[in-house]
Amino acid sequence: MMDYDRVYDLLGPYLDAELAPGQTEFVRSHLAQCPACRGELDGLAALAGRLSEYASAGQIGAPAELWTAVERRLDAGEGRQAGRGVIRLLRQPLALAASVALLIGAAVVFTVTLDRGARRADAAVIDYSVLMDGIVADVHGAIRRFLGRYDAQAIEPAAAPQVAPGLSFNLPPELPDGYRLVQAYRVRFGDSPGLAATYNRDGEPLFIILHDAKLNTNRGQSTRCMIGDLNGMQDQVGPWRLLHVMGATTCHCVLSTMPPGEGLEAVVRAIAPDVAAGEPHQMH
Amino acid sequence: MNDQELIRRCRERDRSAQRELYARTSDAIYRLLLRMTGDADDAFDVAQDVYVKVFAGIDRFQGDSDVTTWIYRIAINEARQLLRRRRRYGDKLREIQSAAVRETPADAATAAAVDVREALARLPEYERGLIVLRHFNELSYEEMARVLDKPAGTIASALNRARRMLRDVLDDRVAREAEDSAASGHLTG
Repeated sequence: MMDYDRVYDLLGPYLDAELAPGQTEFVRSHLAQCPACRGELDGLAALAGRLSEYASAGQIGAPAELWTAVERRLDAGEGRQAGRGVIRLLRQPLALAASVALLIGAAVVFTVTLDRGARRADAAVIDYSVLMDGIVADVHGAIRRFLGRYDAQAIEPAAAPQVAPGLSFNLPPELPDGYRLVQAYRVRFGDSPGLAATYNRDGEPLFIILHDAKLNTNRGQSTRCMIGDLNGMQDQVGPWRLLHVMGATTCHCVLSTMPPGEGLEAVVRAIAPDVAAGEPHQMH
Repeated sequence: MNDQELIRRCRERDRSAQRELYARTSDAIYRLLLRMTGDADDAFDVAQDVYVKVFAGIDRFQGDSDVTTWIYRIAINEARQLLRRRRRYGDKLREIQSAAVRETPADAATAAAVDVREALARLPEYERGLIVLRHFNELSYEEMARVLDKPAGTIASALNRARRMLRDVLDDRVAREAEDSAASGHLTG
């Protein structure tokens, strides 16, 4: 029994190869004759495997715009972060207060779930004005608004095909012209699952939206365009171009400042496997 | 450039040296923060705070530990402060929002990842930090002890406890899902 108690506490370090050689041998010989400890070790190994699987699915590095943000704050004066902490501290209760007020209003008659269901039904039409209005002044804010409007939840890129199995797409870690993947999101357009992803190159974002080709959209003043030999539609506000290119099942939307040349065509082809070269494309 | 030279130049506010120190450490620090907070926006914000503190406080770095360990220590403290603030002000809202999200069948395939993320979120901050440092940042017990400023001999038992807590949370979720599934089958079958 003494051995059992002692070994039980050594199983974690044994699994982590953190024991001294003598202790390792002691545990190994105990395991050979103790089914209970072998069972415990198997359980710990299974947990470690599960964590490892989760970790390897999310091996993404720091977003490229992080250094830009740090550098901006350093330029503004080092050591002033205390003020920012206060702002964040205030932001939480203010957000809480605003949201609680909204929830109280909804909760009088409906449950939170019913309210959410109603919002999701409204969201069956994708409203790109949420993204494009105000984009020139604050592109990051515009992207955040769009993600918030469509209930975005951060996901691991490897999980994207399971999140939206009806869509045809790639979300590579890096796109042509040096854009690096920052974060993938699950979004909901009504009951239709969609995806979004933010990329970044030297602090400049590129935003991708993927949705069912059959969904209705509100695109404002869209115009037809050619990107290489791809047909598409585009909305342009200032330097920002939101391009929509249809594949067989999926509409691939790319928001960027890229001109309609080879670079943008390469980006579309990188994310849209069902948009084959030379194939005629339906207008969106 | 070795660490000593890098730190010396960072103390002189040499921007290229600051960028180099950031480049050497930021992926690991961001990963730590992402797993600790469970939220990319929070991880982004906290990572900024960490590096501003690092460069503002580099004069106080004594050199008695590795500079990466020192940055890890700042990062884990910042993450724990955020979690405490979140608990104080935001938990109720998050619970309501989380409860309002209904999983669709398409979500089922990501359930394993969701399980782990949610289970981690239920651990107390210290235990979550132990799991993240060991399993996601792959620190040794000795490195963990330096980051957490704890005696090396306490890490093994604390990590054992954290793993058992995590396993209990995961088992509890599996059991609840099995119950829900059985109840659902009974109703529809």
